[in-house]
Amino acid sequence: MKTVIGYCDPWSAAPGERIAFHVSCGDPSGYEAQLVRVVCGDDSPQGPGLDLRPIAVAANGNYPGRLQTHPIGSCALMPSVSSAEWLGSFTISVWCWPTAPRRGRQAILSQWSDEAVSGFSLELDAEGHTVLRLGDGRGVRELRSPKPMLERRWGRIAAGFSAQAEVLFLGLSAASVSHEQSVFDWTSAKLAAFSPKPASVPLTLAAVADPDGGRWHRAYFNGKLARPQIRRGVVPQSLLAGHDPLAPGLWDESLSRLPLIADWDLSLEMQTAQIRDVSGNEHEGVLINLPSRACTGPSWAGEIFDWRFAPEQYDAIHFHDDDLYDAGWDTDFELEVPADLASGYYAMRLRCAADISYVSFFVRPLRNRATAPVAFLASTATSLSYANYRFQLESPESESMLNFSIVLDAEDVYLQEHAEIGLSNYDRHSDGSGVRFVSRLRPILNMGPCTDLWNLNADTHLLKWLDERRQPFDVITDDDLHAEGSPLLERYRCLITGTHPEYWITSMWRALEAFLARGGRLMYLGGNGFYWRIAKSESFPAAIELRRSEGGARYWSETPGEYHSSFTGEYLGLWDRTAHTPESLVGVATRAITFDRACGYRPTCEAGNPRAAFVFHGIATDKVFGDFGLLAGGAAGSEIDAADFAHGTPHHALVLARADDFSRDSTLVPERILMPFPAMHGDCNAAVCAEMVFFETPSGGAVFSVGSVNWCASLPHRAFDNDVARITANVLARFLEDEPFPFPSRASS
Amino acid sequence: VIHYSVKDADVLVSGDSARSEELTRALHLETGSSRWVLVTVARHREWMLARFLGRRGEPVELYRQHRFNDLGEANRFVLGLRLAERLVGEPGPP
Repeated sequence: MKTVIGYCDPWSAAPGERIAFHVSCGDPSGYEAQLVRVVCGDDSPQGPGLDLRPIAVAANGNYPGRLQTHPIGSCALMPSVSSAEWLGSFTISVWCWPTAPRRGRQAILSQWSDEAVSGFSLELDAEGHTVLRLGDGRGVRELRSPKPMLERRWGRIAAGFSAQAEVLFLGLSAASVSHEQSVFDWTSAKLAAFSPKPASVPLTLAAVADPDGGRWHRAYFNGKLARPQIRRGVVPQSLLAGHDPLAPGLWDESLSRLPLIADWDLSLEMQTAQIRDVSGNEHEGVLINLPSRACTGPSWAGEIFDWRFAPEQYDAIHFHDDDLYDAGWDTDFELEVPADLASGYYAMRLRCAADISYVSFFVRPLRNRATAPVAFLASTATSLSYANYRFQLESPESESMLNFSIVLDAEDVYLQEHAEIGLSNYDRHSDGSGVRFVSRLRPILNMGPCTDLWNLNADTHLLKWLDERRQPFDVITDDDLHAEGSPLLERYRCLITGTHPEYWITSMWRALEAFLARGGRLMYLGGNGFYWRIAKSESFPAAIELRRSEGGARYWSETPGEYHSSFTGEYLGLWDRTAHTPESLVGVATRAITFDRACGYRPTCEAGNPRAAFVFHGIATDKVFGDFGLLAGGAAGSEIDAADFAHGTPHHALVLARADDFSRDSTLVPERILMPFPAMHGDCNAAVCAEMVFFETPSGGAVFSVGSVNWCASLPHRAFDNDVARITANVLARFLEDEPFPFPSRASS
Repeated sequence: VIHYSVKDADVLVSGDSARSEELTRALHLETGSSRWVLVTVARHREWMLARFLGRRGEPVELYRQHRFNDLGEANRFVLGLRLAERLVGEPGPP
């Protein structure tokens, strides 16, 4: 199966810039690298033919094989903490919300070495009981709470040791929820003549540090942690006799008499990888592998939903044993993008015997320059959100939804067998929580030619069509648009989207609005676009953040109260729930999902409006068009959009065509259902439809939206000689003309 | 016991939703657990039988002697195995 995989950084580069390639190859005899321009990545027998054009570059050639891999799991390291001065008498306090308390050893706060049998570690054991472990270099002493922690319930843990008092103690108090019994444990043991020895590893939150000082930490914790503190000394046991020592008030009052060694406020510097020590001792920490911040803490009362307004209620971090930000592989080779290489979609083909992997990237034009009047916007944010999507492997809906039994490609098999390759926004962490962060700094197996006709590979039908027409175009990416904003678009007359521009960062949205406001023309040639609002961060430039808040077609839903981005503070979720609806931007919004059969469009009476005459030039407006295509046999299908004038579609917009011949397996998206009812499906509900919409903007620009993911898969039909291709060509030709679109008067609209 | 016809597998291959409700139910129930699946040997040309255990990280068991050049035939074979397993507890491929 797969023997060679890799990734590159960055994904978008201009001529003269460099791209680093990181490769793992299980065959020591090595692999061959060959740069190709991806004109069409559809290798199906029914398609227009795989079209990968080799490009001669110095980076092509044979490279030695070596396996590269990486650890997964998140934690925080506080390297400046030395326990030598206080390990003889200390108290730890921390709040804990475990999400998988019975899954093996999980460290909460540790400075521990298994190999040297030294240090201390506060952990959960395999049964979910809390354990405080001390080592003196020769042996281990440990104390275990009689009761286990409760899953997804806040509990406060206090634990400590005093050599002078000869006591080891451990307390646990879990808040009761609803009608549950609250948990209260207090246990202590006499520990005489024991002197723990400090471990030579960093103090670590949510894991045990790599004993060799590397990245291979262990015993990762799953769940939220809040308010970790270490204090010098212990509270006299007699002071607490007869009381719940963990009850608010008494415990805090008692603790406050002990000098702080470190007190980490996890609500500070929310948008970064830093965690701050507010004790005054400056034991700052750094987060590893992007755990989730902006999480509700023990005091969240369910009344405030934006962490920016009550950061003290969002003082928890959710760690996972499968978080991943940067695989950190060594670089195998670099590509310097040749000065004369045309803007486009490219891939480095890695071949090892019978196995081939493609590492996709994009060549943009030189910065501050355009080489064509048309730009294709590669939906890299969407590709990243889907990166290594385990839908077939893990989604309980996969077979009934796709109307097909599972067929696993070599890439799926690799994903199944290599959890370390990381997750997509569609997957769940091992503890069942949804994946909010995805990073491109790791191999991504479902983003390239010869993969499913979805996202980027489906977009290559459009790229092939542009190539067949000899239409010059530049390729820019979501990453470029986020970084440069509207000035990037102002160099173009017409912007064309791909088949599925689903994920949008606010910066991208604003740039597109500005482009249209100044007269730009937009061809939205897909469906389910402009659906989810995501965020990016300067602290983690290779990642996107998503919170699947409250609504939308989704495989997991967000934890209550955690709807706002830790990166930006923005509400994340459907754009539909913000002041900026997809309809207001492009005239249509996601209406339904249909993965069985697709269909063609019927022109509406508005197809005869003179404003739209250019669209249907040479096309009969009295019959169905687009009832063919490589995806389910129709141009309207998979994920489909429609207009909604009450929800932002400009009032002068023309609904030129509608497709509504769908089956019972076609269903309205959740935000269109509200109350479940029998007629939610395409065989009996006319609202399950795709609509083609056109409208002009006040500054002479225009928007053309097809409302279907499948549209571009119909372009190649009959060697690109068909009505879908003709309509697309008509619109592109008009959108490239200098003449502004006259804004319609009320009478003509 | 869930009854469905292996002939229903034809409609899955053709991408038509005119399948029995029983098969829809069976497909949904089968997911997320150990089950027979197909693994691509050569894209668009050849497939083999496999056992997917459903737990992340576990290897996919390949049954290399059961190969197919027709996806419809392969799908019917897989669903037939699933049916046999449900009805009579057949532990493995014939």
